[in-house]
Amino acid sequence: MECRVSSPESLFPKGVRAVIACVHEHKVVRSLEDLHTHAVLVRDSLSEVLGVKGLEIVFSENEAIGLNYILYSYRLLHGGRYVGTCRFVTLNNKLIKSLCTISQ
Amino acid sequence: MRDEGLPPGQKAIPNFIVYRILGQPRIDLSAWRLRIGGEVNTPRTYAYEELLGMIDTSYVSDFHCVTGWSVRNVMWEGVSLRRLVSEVVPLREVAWVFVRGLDNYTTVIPYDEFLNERGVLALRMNGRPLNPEQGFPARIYIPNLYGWKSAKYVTEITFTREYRDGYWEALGYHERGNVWREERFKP
Repeated sequence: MECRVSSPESLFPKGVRAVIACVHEHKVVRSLEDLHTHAVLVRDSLSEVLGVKGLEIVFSENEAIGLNYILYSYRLLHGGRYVGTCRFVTLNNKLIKSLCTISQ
Repeated sequence: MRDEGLPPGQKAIPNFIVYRILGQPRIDLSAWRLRIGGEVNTPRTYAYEELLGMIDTSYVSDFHCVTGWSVRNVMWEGVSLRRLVSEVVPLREVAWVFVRGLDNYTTVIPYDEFLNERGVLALRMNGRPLNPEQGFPARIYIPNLYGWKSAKYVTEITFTREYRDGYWEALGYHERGNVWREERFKP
């Protein structure tokens, strides 16, 4: 899993200060349980990148984007406080990318 | 199964779902201006009344949201984007158009798509001025791009040679967003 950190100005109005985008290896995801494994990996990478221990990643909702993509959203919490959102994109049930936004 | 005449992955619904990801801006029409600039020869600023006097385009076309819904047969009226381009004369190296709304929503459109013959700065929709939820006083509409490129409450159009993400592009959505190629997310 390769990740890239950026700070796009276009998301400042939403209070987003950093974006961590990761490319995944098109692993099959057929359930939230399958996705949870990847969510935990992303959370651990974020902990490392941000230098923060004790991050939690909690499933929030998912939605269809067209007929083949599904977007799964997770909330990132630290000490119970919201710190960001992670979105996982699947194409025909294969995980293609994740993108986490970190708020101020 | 494909909904007849619609791009792949789209379903027709009876009316618009309204998104206001950065809220509903208050519009003071006397202060509102459309500024067009960046890497151009003659930057221009337009007031609303001036744009109303420039309306040269009217047609019916479907609107497609990247989430998968489409609204058929929407009537669009406004100023052709080609006309606006001809007034500011972008430099030859321009490749992208960065659009900002009064709510600070941003999106980026490839210059060649911006030059689409049916691209319009829409001022009216279905025979009436845009309502606030649809982006009054002006929004972009390019028929073969997904709706997130159709920025509302447009206040700045900037021509540039360098790509930069707008709001949804920074969240992984496609640089171009062509509905017929199903360009929903970046590769």
